[in-house]
Amino acid sequence: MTELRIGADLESQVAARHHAAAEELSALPGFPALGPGPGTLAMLKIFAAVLQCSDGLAATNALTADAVRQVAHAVRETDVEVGRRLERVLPDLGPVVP
Amino acid sequence: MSFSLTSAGSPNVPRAAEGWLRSTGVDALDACADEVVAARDRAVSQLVGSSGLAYSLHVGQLLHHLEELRSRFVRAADLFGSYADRLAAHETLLAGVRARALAAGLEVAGDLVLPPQDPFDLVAGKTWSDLAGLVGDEQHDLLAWVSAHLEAAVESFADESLLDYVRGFVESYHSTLISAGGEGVLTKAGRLATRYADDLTRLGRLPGPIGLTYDAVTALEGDSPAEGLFVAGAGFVAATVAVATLPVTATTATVAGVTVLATVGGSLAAQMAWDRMPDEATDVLDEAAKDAWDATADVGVEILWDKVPEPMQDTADEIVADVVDGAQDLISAGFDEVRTWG
Repeated sequence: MTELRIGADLESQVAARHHAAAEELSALPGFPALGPGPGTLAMLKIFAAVLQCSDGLAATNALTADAVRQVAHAVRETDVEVGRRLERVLPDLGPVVP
Repeated sequence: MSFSLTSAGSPNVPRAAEGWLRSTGVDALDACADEVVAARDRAVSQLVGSSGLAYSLHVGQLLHHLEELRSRFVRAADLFGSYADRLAAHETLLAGVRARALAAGLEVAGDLVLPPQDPFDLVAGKTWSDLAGLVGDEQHDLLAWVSAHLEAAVESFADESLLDYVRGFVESYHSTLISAGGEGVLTKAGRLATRYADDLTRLGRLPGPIGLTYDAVTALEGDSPAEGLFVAGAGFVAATVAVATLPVTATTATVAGVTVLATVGGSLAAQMAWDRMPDEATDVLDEAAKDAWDATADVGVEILWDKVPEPMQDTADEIVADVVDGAQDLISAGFDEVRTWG
């Protein structure tokens, strides 16, 4: 029971938070249009540098969310496997129902 | 002979960029950091042992890089604010010169200060020369300021340690999935990781509109600017941003218009279309784009598109039509791919 709750919580709370974090950054490349001027190109390059970084951090958060989901999945599978083994070694207890 | 009082650029441009960085940009980074902190706090009681330590270290690095990036956003905003102040001072000086020219009885036609009609009016002649020198010096000083403050600062905004961290995480995550289950069991997460791992240059490329805009401006500085514009596209929105950043001239609008159409079909189709265009046409487009860019501050640019012989214009039209026809499949495929991310 404990493991299953943790698995669900990892997905609904931890992974979801990282997914939301990625979403916060995903809209950033829609920066305002820049008009002509002697510094426009330099401004664009600066925008490019910082937005490249934010895009990378958005991707990192998205993958972190997926990694946490993988962990949650592994927790659930482990729980099921432990239950099966317990049934085998302790048959008198009957099926282990979560 | 006359001299111009046309402003080199509006302070509203860097001011808008500064405002966006301070509000939208910084707010998004703060909101992102809040979510990560909330995730870490929630995970503390659930991820213990080796997994907890690994997660904790990873999130610690993530928060560190978010904080570093936030400081870069603020520094960029400060710099753009300084640039806006400098352009405002530039406009104030030009307005002062206009007032002095009018007070001295010089003729001002639009933004042009005409020389005295009477060549023997030495006082007016000296005033005109002094004012022309003042404006010339100001233009030179403004360019020097841009070079010293904006262009010189560009490199300092790159963050290789952050990009190395992202690359390292993506690569290790991908290889972990592969070793755990083999290629056949890759899930959506695996496909996402594969996408990044297989195309790590994407992290050296720029996302969305900023990528296209940067590519477009870089292309304009290159040997074949129109080709660069033609193949730089990634989508309608991106192309619109790029067009908005360019000097507004009929020539540029023509080239950028082709770019907008080309972006519908994606860069591959655009490159194919470009390659099919006759050299004469592409050369003219290159010249047009280059001149339009070089003439940012000029008043009136010759419309070179009109110099393209009609048969070539027709060829270009046909090619663009082909690109649009083929675009629907590419867009459909693109959306399918996007859906797999959702």
